[in-house]
Amino acid sequence: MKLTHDKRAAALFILPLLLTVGVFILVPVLGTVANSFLRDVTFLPERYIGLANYRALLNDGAFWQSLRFTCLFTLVSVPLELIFGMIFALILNQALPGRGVLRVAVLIPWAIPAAISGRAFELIYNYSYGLANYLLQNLGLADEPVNWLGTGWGAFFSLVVADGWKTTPFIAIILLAGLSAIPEELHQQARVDRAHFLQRFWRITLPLLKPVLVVALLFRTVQALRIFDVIFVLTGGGPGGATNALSLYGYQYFVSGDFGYGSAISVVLFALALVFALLYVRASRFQEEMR
Amino acid sequence: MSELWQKRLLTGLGVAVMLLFCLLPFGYMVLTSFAQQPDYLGQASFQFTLENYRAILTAESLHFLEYLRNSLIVSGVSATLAVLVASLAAYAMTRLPLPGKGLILFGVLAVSMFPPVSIVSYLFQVMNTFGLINTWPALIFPYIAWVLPLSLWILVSYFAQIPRDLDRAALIDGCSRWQILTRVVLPVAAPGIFSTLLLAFIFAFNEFMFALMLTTDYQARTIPVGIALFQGLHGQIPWGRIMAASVFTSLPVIALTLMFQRRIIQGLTRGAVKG
Amino acid sequence: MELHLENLGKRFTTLRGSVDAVKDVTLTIAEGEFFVLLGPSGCGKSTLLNLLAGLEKPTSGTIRFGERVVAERRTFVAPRERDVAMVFQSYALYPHMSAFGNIAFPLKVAKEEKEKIERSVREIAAILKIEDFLDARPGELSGGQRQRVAMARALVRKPRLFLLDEPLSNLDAQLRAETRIELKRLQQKLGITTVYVTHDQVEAMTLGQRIAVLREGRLEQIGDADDLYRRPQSPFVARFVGAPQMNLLQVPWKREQGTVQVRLGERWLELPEDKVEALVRMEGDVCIFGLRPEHIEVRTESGEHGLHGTVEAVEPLGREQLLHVALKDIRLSALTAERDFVGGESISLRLDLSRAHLFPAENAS
Ligand SMILES: Nc1ncnc2c1ncn2[C@@H]1O[C@H](COP(=O)(O)OP(=O)(O)O)[C@@H](O)[C@H]1O
Ligand SMILES: [Mg+2]
Repeated sequence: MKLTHDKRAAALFILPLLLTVGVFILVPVLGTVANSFLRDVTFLPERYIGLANYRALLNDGAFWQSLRFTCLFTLVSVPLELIFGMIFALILNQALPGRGVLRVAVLIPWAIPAAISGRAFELIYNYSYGLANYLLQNLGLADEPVNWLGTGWGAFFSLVVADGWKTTPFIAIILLAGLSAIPEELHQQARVDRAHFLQRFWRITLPLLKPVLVVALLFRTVQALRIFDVIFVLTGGGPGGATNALSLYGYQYFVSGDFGYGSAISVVLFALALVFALLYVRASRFQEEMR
Repeated sequence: MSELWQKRLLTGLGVAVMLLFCLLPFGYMVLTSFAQQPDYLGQASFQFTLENYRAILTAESLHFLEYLRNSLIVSGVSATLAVLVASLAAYAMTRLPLPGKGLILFGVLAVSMFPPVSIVSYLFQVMNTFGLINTWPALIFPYIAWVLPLSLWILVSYFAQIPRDLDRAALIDGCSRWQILTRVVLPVAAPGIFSTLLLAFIFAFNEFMFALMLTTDYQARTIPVGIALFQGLHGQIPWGRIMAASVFTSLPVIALTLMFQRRIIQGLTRGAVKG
Repeated sequence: MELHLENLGKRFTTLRGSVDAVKDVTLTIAEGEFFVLLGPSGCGKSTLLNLLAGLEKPTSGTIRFGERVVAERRTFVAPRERDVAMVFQSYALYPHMSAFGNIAFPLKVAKEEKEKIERSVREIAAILKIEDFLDARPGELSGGQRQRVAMARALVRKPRLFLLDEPLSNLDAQLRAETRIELKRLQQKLGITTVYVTHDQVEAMTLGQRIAVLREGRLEQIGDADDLYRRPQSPFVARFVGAPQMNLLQVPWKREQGTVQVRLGERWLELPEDKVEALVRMEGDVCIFGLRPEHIEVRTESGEHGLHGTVEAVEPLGREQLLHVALKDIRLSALTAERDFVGGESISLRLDLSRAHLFPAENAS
């Protein structure tokens, strides 16, 4: 029988996917949730302690600082990346000579592992001989070298730039695809109607790009919430926990062997990210249906 | 000033800023990797040397080549397997009667957004139980799962574009479902599969947190972690070597990106924003 | 091999609702016959062909190949075991294989020996005159060449049943006419039972030994070209078959003094004896009156029996002209080779009522 045969083939073909994702992502997530209800510290026997880890979080100043930083970082970096990504995309969308070369140039930051570019930025922000201070002083923008990574706000700003370096080009590529899907006639019509290019951007490009922008915004929000690599390399959460993102905070407990408390932190981040992930899925789904 | 000139000026300025922004850090990496001392800025002369490269390639204590080997093997194997698994799934998604397709597709998309930190600790415990910590499989399996969503999305979009009449023709010509996949759909989708493979590889190659927690030394540690943890012995950070290693590591990825720019952009935009 | 379709039905159920693409089709196709399925787009021709191929499973009814049941409620024989070949409208050539690879593919899947494959491919390629570009990829071939490769791929296995789904619709008019003739010759030579799907009535008439007209999934009429042309059993067939299209008018009719008359414009026309019976069986006082443009004679002077009208538009068809004529409240088209008429001219028409067709008035449908 063809139909049942096909159904069996379908099940067989989809099984490896479900199995892999299930075993290596879903099960670990559930495991983490389960661990968050345990006192699971190295050298002590495991014990179920209910919500004690979460109650402890409420009184943990470092946790609140971490949560605050994570949200603030997201709130600042994502809009900036979107604005600059939009500008880059608009430039890349022009019929310029050497457009291909430009696109490749934009892809380079995306291709380099974040941990590696993090190291490069560590050197750039070096107090005594880094590129940042060299440029700042030689362009006459500052008299004294800036202690980029040593102050709370300096570190925050440094992270936004370092993270933006890798993600803005990526946003630009995504928005570029959205831009090239806008029919040229619309622009021509607007040009005939003597609309200024800024008007054309506000009245035509932006509204038509809105679905793509929403998807990109939500996607970047989730990624910013779970940021880890760059911070691990660049500031290690410092100075004084000022840039200790939730991912890093949880990780620190895992390293010190406290799986229960670390899991509770991870679950909080997970829940936060899940909200935006689901919104993102909804938006993607909407976009998919538009096609 | 006419509108055309306003626009040209803005575009020119934008191009300059964009290029500077994208290329300056990488250029700085390259320059430092050839410098004897990292504090050459503001100095009278730049002292060129290949010593940093010689060191990372020959000094065994740095384990650079081993990190790189681990990275290539782990990323290569997991990308290949992920694309294989994703191809099967994408075929079922686009060609076979499968209940809950949307649920799977969008569920997988949601999964790809999970923070790694909510996965890695439990993975560590499991891998530890099986004695797999600091081995390639400890990374390969999670990486397959990690790059699967992206691969699935791209492949579904490629497979959906292959005309269904080809399947029908193959059925009539005597193929089984499996033969349709291996003899028609996969070969026709080969360019798309290749793009997916590339992206999956870059994705796995760049992964950090799993590698950080599931490996302990050069036997399995990947190059991003190796470089991130690269510290000097006496408090002095060996910037030249770190940058040499960074440049050397980035080169293959950048070369791939340069060579297959079109495919990568295509793949990225097909997977919508899944990277 | 004889084909039997018995009460065949296919219902597609989708999220938007269900569609009965094929409804209660019963017919038999003889061994070696060139059988054509004709109908407008969306009438279920492809679905019916796919049922024969085994690409779709019927929701009701039976398909038998000779004695063997290939599809029924509990039986379903997969396409690969039916020994059928098919040419698709899109040709569906494998883009990653050469023409040779495409043609050889069914044999390779069947694990034939290499030399035998080579020989069979060369043989069919010679018949279809495509030997010269066996090494080219489909992307490098012209539409006509692709079409031939698709035919070769279908025929190389010497199938028991040859199915074609609008195989000529992507060719230009000239090539289509040539290929049509060639196809007919080829089928006669190979003697394979053939089912051919088309929406083009000229194609159907020239190719088919018998033609089945489908309408909304239902069989409307089966017969040879002559049957369909001379004896359409419904206004649908009458309208669909023959070019230019038959005039079909809804007209009043009445019985008077043993004769039967229909009213065209202001005139009551008496019908010949042999038409009377058709009308007598009808209910109501209107019927559908059909007359082909070629059965209307156009005169300049107003003859006694003529209907008077004005030429509204002239379509030159080469040797002949198709005139659209307005008579009071009705319009008729007439074919004439007499001379060149021009728009606005007053003329009279003589209808050959012995060629008229009468159908019951359609209610709503
Ligand atoms: N796979 C399908 N799913 C749902 N409806 C279908 C499917 N295939 C065909 N149909 C519907 O069945 C009807 C007949 O289609 P088809 O056989 O392709 O017509 P034809 O070939 O005569 O143009 C159409 O209304 C079409 O929309
Ligand atoms: Mg059709």
